[in-house]
Amino acid sequence: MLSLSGRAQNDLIFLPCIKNEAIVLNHPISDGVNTYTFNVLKLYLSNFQGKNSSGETSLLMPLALVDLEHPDTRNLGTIQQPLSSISFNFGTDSLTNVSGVLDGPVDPINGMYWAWNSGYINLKAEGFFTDSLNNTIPFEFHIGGYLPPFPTAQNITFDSLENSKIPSVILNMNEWLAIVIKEGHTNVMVPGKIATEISKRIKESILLSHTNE
Amino acid sequence: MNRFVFIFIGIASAFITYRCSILKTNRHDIQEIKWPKPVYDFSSNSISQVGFELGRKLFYDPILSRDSSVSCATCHLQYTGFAHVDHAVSHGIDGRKGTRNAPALINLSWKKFFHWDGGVNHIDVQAINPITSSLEMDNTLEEVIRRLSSNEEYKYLFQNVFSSKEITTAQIMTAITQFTRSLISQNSKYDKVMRKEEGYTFTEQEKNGLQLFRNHCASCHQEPLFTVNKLKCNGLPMNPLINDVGRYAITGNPEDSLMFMIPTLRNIEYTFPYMHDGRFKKLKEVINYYCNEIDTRNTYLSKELQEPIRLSSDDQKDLLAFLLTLTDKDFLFDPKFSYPKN
Repeated sequence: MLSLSGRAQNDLIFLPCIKNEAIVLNHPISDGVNTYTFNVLKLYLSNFQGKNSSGETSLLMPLALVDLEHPDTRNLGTIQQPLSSISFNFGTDSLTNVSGVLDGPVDPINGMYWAWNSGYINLKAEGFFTDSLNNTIPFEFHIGGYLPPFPTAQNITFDSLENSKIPSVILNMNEWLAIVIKEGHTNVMVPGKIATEISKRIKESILLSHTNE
Repeated sequence: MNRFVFIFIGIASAFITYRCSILKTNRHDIQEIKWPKPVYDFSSNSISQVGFELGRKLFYDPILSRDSSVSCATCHLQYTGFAHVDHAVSHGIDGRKGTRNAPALINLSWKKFFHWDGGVNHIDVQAINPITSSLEMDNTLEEVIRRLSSNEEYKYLFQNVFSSKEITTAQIMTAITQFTRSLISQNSKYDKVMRKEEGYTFTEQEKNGLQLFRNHCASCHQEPLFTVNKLKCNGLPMNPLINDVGRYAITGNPEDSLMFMIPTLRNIEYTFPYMHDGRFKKLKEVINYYCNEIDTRNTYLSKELQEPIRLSSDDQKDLLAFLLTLTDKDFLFDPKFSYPKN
């Protein structure tokens, strides 16, 4: 069950989860088979747009850094009216990556900027994975890159929303992490083909929840 | 520093240099050409006197390094074209050595990519790399901000430039680039001859050298910047102690293997040692490499070098004579770019 204390009725929430259970840093969490412990989990979301039943589109949130060290960052803002669809990017767009030094969520001081290879890390996940045989494997994923042919930003759209409810958006980390680790990738720290493939898996792991809390 | 100097610095980088007419010559033809438009968007960070001075102070201040022993100027000395002549590769705190030669800092507003592998895509973020690299300054941005924010002089200077009480990453970086973008070299003998300034002419040897240069070198070292600001493989065999794969490490594209940034040749007389790993100490060695030592079987060799450059011994000397005309002592010894006295 999702849980986010203090959430207002109209807040738009993005929750990194393991099998729909919100992740808390440094606390083991199981998907029923494997157990995950995250020491670091940060990611960028950008260009969050909503469309109402009249077909009008509005920008809800231009750019956010969701950082589980600061759980409030999961709250992306308040929705003023019911929406029929939402769309956003996992990651930062290419323009942000070539715009020099920036402030706010994309300040390089946030530890999400590659100095040696300009551009943002779109998702940083570090921790431990324990499988059903009790093998514990450390993992470190810095997924980023904006240059073709290996971009990692992914556009996500959800249509046909229930107008009466503001949904939560959840990222089920177990959906991609277990697969990637079992494929032998435990450290991905550079842009490239593997990072792009993982970003596509991340996209597929993002879904809506209308769960009432 | 008087007002005129800053009018020069601020305007030159955006307009004067861009509009400055130079004359493209060959033996029979004189044709006026212009400098290309700078890559840098000056509207986002226009140069001011106080901004330039703050950037210069930061550039020369070892406060940026973890143990306060190394500044930007440690590896970028003005009188060597803001390159580093002491070592083949740059070195940082605790005597740590990098893997590449510190490049010259000249005419940076015209560059789209930085570092030998082109991994940095904007000058305003370039300094993050040496500040945070474990082989160079080995510091963190948090610590740099903490130090500057607790320093009364810097607090005053930052507030004066940015009208903000809080010092940020962006302010530090853009202040540094107000200085580095001002490092414009355009007053060499070559420039003066091209501008037809009174009293400046090429010798016959230099004229022949220019012609040889245009025939054999200019496709990569195009006038007036003396670089096309692209990355190419010049065929140098990989140093097995470093195994530097060049651009490939950035893009992951095998076709980018052993590709490195083409450096400007301005002030080349003073920016030794040469090549990405500083393997050549003398310009004669560089010319000899291109004339006699390129392995044309190298799979990654750029197409411009597929055809061997055949120059006689005399022609090599003439080419060298021309390259020496790219020395701009007004730039190398300009006090406005030197260590701030105050």
